[in-house]
Amino acid sequence: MKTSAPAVETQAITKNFGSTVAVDGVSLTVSAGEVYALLGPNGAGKTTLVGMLTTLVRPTAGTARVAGFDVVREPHHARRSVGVVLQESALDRYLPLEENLYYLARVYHLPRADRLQRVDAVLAFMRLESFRRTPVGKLSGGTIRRAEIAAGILHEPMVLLLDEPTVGLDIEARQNIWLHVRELGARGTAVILTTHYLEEADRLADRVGILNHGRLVAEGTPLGLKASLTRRRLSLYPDPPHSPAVQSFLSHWVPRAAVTVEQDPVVVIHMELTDEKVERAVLADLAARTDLVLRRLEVGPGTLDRVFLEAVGTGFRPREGVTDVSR
Amino acid sequence: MYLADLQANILRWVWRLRREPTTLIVDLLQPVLWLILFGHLFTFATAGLGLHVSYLTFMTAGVVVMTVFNAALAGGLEIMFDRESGMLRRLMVTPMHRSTLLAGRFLFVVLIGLAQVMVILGAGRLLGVPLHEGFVGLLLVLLFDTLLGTGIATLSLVLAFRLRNHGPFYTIIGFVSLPLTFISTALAPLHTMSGWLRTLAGLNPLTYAIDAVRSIVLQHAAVSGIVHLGIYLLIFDGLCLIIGVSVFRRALY
Repeated sequence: MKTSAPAVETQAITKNFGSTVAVDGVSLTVSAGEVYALLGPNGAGKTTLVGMLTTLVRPTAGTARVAGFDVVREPHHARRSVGVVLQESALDRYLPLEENLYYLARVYHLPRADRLQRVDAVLAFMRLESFRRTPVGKLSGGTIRRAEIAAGILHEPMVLLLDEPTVGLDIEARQNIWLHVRELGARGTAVILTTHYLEEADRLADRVGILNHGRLVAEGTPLGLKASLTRRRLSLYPDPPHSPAVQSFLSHWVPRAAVTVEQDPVVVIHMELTDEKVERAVLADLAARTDLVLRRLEVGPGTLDRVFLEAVGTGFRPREGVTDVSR
Repeated sequence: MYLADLQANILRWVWRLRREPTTLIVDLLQPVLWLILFGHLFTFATAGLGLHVSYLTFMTAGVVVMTVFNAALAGGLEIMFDRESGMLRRLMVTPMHRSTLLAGRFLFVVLIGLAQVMVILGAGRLLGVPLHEGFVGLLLVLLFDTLLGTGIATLSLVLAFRLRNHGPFYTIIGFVSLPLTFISTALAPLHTMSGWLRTLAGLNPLTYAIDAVRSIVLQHAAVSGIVHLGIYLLIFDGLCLIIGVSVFRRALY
């Protein structure tokens, strides 16, 4: 890595496919040890942006640097500095996991003396030792994803790019991968991940960037982004969960507030409130309803889901470039 | 680094083959079966061809070249599977020289083809087919097989990038393989063919490779008599490589 350079830095990077603008002047910086989540609806430009950072897609305009190396002018160095887990597999399904890793160790030009040690180290780090002699095609989806991450970090890259690393996995497998991503961040690897799971971004990321129509429309810490919402969120835990009092309360407020009811593991009524006046009215109503008993009541900022919807779905547009609420 | 990348990309296929011993055995034995079954089956049917050697002897050169041809023709299929699975794209993110992805596969395919040739010639010898030119002849056979394999394997790799998926690839292999074998001198000499068939056979690169191999090993031919066959195959390879380089450059860079 070039000294004092950010792990990843893009300046007004743009990619056009014919008349379609896939990525439109995105500027972002990711530091070493930071976990950065890229969110956005399908077609927002996330995969194209990752493609440019991996040197697979040539930018139309702007610049991108990975570990200080320009992805267009110094692609070879950039590729050495970046680990990648794409939606496509890096592994030969007919070969055992360890042979796949030995092959990748060679093509990443690891010194002969280090190859065995690095393969053992990543297998241990991703808790894959028991699968080392199993052909990749016989591994489960979650284990293959862990194996892909093992392949991505084999050469100890400064930057790890994860393109939807947990898509299609069950919650246990997802949590397992989150654990490893956090650990990589703690070890100083800059991690950029694209995801559709907002909960994933909320739990994992130090910062979140939201792409829409190729533009970075919001960026900040998950907490900062949630705090920037105009809407607040009220979460009620009724006891008992299904009573006439609860029904009466819901039928009264449903037309006036966005209400969602979570059923599992306990019933929680979430209310997205447009302003403080409505919030005060709801709280006054709750106080007046003596037949409605609450085990718990939480009042706080909205969710990242709401941030996302505001950024991409309800006409939210920053006046001047990016809305940065990280500070 | 280029050689190290090339070595890695050959080793991958060697490791794969080691994991699939059945494929290895079938690949090596199938041409020998061809030689034994067809060589004996057609012995009586081809009595009127005016051959100066046994039909088995005549056909050995055809089986040698057909084997290399078929191995090279199917050689791009694994690259097609890598493309379909996305592995090829993923490997392009590594710092390796991208051309070694293809060169490694190409060399592996040619080496396997040449190993098959050795087995066929060994089996032929056991069945009484003479190898008149000895070790030098063997090297020349391998050279001509390599010349044919180079062009065909390049075209196969071109297909791997130009076709959308492996379905049409199989269709094309099936469509091309047998007709090109029959429109060549693999099974019958050129003078026994009718006019249009002879013209087509005369354009078929398999004919040139087969005639060269037949001349070198089986019929005491002078090297000077086969140079023009080598030149023809070099021109064929040159054309294939021109097409290949343009397709590969677009696909890999």
